[in-house]
Amino acid sequence: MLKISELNVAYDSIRVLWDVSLEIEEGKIVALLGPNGAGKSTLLKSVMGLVPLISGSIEFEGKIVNKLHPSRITEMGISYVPEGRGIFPYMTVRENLELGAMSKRSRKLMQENLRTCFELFPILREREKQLAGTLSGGEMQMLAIARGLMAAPRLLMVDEASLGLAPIVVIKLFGVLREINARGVTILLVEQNVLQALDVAHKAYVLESGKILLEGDTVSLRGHEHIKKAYLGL
Amino acid sequence: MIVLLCIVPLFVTSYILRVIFITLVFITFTVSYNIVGGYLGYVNLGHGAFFALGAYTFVILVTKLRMPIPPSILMGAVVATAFAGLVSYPLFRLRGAYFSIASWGLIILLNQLAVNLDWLTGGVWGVQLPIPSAEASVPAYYGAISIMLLAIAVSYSIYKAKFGLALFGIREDERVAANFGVNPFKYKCLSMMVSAFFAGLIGAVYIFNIGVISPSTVLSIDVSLAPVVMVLVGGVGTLSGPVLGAAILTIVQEILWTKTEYFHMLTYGVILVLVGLFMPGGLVRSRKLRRILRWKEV
Amino acid sequence: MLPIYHIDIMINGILMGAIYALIAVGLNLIYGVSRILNLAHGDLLMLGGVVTYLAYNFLGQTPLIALIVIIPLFLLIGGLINISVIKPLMKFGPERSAATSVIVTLGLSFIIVDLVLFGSAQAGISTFGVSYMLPSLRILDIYLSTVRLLSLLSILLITIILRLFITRTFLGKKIRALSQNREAALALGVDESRVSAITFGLGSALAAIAGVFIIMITATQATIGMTLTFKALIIIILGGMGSFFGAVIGGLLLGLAESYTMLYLGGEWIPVIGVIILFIVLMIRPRGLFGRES
Repeated sequence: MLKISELNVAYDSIRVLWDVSLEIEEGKIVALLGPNGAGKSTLLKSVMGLVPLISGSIEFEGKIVNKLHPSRITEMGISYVPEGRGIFPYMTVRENLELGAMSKRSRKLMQENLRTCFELFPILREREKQLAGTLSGGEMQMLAIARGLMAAPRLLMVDEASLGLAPIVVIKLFGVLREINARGVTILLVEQNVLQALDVAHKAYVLESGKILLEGDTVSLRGHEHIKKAYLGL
Repeated sequence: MIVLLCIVPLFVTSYILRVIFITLVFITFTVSYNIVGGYLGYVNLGHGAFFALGAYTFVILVTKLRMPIPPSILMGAVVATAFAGLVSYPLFRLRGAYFSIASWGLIILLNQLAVNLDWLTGGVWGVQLPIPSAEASVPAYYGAISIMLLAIAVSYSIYKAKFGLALFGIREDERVAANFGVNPFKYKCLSMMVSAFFAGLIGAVYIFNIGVISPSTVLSIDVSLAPVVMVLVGGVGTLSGPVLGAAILTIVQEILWTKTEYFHMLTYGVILVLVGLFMPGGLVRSRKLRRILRWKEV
Repeated sequence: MLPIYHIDIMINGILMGAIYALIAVGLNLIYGVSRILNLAHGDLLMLGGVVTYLAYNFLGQTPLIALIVIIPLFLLIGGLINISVIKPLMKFGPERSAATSVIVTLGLSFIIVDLVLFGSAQAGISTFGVSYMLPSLRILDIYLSTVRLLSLLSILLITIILRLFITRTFLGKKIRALSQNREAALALGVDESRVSAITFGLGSALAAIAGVFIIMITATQATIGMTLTFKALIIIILGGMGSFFGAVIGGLLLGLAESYTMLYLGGEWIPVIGVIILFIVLMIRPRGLFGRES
């Protein structure tokens, strides 16, 4: 569904991604792992069209999406939940969700999608009229993901969902992600919480210093030496 | 160069002497502005207030209190410096464009005070100094030379010293600089005071020579915002930039502006827009120019 | 019961305050979306006043007509300024562009003011005034200026419409989103350049509208722009950056403060009171009354 080939990205003159290639099959959950500063967020941002590329190509459902404006990318069915929640603190939960439906296509489905979101995240229905800035960390994360769903995406990219959340909340969150995936949404998950990520994903890539170090299905990766040593502390 | 400047009065007409004098004044004015506007990176639109304050203090001391000239000039600088220290407190609570607009308030304030307190300042019509200009022009000229040299020397030593480094740090990223143990406010306040000192000093000398003061001569937009334009043209944050910019623009001004009454502000405006969009570093920083002239950046 | 002249002072103060609020809200909107303060904002107000003046004195059109023309005109002008001058700036990134924007918008201000100065000098005019009169209203024993009351009502209406636009329409929500969290808004696919251009037009139109009302109250000159931009700044800081409500309240407070200063100290001290208020707020409570960001 998503095919990234030989991607090279730099900020000013600092190279962040070196010939990165990865592929995501439709209907799967793929995890992108790696240490801080490896370039994981940059990768997501490049798919979204937020960061210019030096070279390489990004293909979504057979179409090249390199040079497109972020608004076009959302229209094509990719949704991005940025690191740090990125909610709008002085707007209500409902307004935040409404903003997720940026494209015309998703705006038509707004009521239906709102219902779906409230189904998946009942706590948001409770807090519908509250200002988003008053929510707890976990609730904000759920809002951010729900907002991503409002765009009726076929691919949902989530950046560091577990950051700063209590383990119980993380388990719940990932449970919802599994449900979303079961409803037909492909998910690309950037995560520092390797254990949880390997649990929920089908396939994983490891990005270190801007280069893909490992790739493979999560079952075999769990037993991989490097993973065990560097990320699982074993 | 300095020797040349010193012997010039013996050879030229009083008109040319005045032009050179004004150039020296604006160079000093601009160099002093550059410490806050260039090194620190805070566009201080109110810098002209220090200049005017120095000028007005001088006039008031000389005419009302009949103080002799040299201490009056010094007091002009002192008052300007104290004022700068005082207004640093509220002003530096702001940053960026907010700071700039607020600093413009200093000009508005001083302008209104000059007009309102007419028993002190002569109001809108101003005050005439009881010093014949022929007597004043030569000592003023030498005063200007020395002050300009002093200002450039101080500017240079700041540039090279840790103080300058701190200012550059604050300009580039204030939070990071604070983490390195730089107390931002202390440096901002200090740099503002140093820049005010020279502005006030040269403001007093300027009026000493011109002999007449009024709000429209020292607090007009032409004068108050001149250093901003000059630094921009010459090169922001560099050492020679302000000198170059001031020199070029003052001479251009003297030649062009005496020809037409209109379009002074327009030329400034166009320069600002063009330089801002295309050459934000100014002449000294422009790489193309440097390649042509094989200049080293200072 | 307050003496009669107090009511007059208060109405004047509230009216001026409402006008100031319009200017401040416009500036706030633009800043929220593009992180750029337009130093030429006050000059757009002045231009609005000039258009009204020309329409009234040379074309015999009432200020109301001028108002209707001005809104789309300045929406366009603001948008054009944004596209031609501001957008290239934003390429430098939000940090650098903030510094350069001061320079560029200042230059713009100079150009506008000088052109108007030149034009007015050619026409032999030094101040602009529109002495539009309507029969006074009489309530109890007080004669009230109908023009002023109508102006106040109009501004109230405009403010309500604006508020509805920002809170109810999708575009309004995009504007709020960009000002509350730029990164997230971009991630959602908000078209920053487009929203920025529209907001600039909106803010500029608000300034011009304020100009229409100001010119009916006092004689204005080509140079009032910078002073009014400064006053808008005072209001934004007093009311709190990023707050619509704060800009409105701040505007009203400043208007009233100026009105009472006029009464007790005289009109020449009005600019000074503004500066004093600014410095006091900065020293005591820099985030203002309803401030949202740092």
